[in-house]
Amino acid sequence: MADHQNYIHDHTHSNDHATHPDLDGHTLSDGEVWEAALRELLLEKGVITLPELNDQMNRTASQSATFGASIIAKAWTDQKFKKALLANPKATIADLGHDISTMPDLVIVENRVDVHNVVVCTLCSCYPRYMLGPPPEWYRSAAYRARVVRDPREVLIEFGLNISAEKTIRVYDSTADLRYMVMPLCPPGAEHTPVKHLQTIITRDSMIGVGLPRLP
Amino acid sequence: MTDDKQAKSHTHVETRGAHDLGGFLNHLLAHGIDARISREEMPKTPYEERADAMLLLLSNAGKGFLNIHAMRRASEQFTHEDYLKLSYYDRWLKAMAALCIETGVFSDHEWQAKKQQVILQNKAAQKRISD
Repeated sequence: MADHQNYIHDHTHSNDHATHPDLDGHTLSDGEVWEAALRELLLEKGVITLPELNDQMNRTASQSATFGASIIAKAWTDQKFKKALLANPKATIADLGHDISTMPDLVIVENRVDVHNVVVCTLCSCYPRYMLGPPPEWYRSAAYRARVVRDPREVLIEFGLNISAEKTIRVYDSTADLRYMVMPLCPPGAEHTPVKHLQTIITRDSMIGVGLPRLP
Repeated sequence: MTDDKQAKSHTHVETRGAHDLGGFLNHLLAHGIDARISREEMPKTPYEERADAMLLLLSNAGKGFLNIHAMRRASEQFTHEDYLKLSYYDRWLKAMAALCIETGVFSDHEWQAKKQQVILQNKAAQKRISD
């Protein structure tokens, strides 16, 4: 538990973090006031406890796209696994020993030579956090949500990704109950590379569809 | 498919919910929102990290206290101005507070009083630091 306490201390500069976390002299923004007020009320009412809050912050800090990349890398090198993963992602990932039963449903869309996929959540910012870690700021932005469904090609160019006109671009709109992620194309020849190395080239952005795997 | 002209007319009547942004670039522009996508990686600030943790703790991925759909509904009821003006976490914080009041976790009176207390504590701390 001590490391959890340290975790919150790292961010607060105060020993009485339960009630006064950010009192370093700056005037609190509206959001900071709301956060402090909500947290204090939830703690006072016993809805949440401080250890639970710290544990959750630790869990979130431990999530990253490395997990999603390891799954994609395995699929690239194991056709049987890939088939199962695309057909039934959650069950196939659970079979590897990961407990994701409480997580929203997941669909993995495979890029093809003639089809590039990209993911958005236009209504909210739904994102497969347990696969990719916390969503980047731009994924949650109004600009990305509004624009990528209308003109994906142009938006992808802004991300430095020029998809040839012959390729179809499909935009998948995630929801609170069902989240999409992309299985990027394996760079030619890379399927014989060890999984451990492969997963380092599979970037977060390549699994959202706004990037490609880094060339080995 | 909605064309731009239709999107523009929506901007004026605003029959859509504030959250329904897909394809409505003109709607953003009409509200003065930057249409450029900033690719800067923005690490969460400490208060955003705590807001994020509370959101997950309360949601169905955590304690199931406030259903994620209820939380979405709360933020989808914001005015277009509020929805677009508020940052991601401020939107969730406002929605979480609204739902806690709605479901009786705490009263509106307690919420107002607690916010006031936080503001006063902040002012007192500022005074201590400047003294």
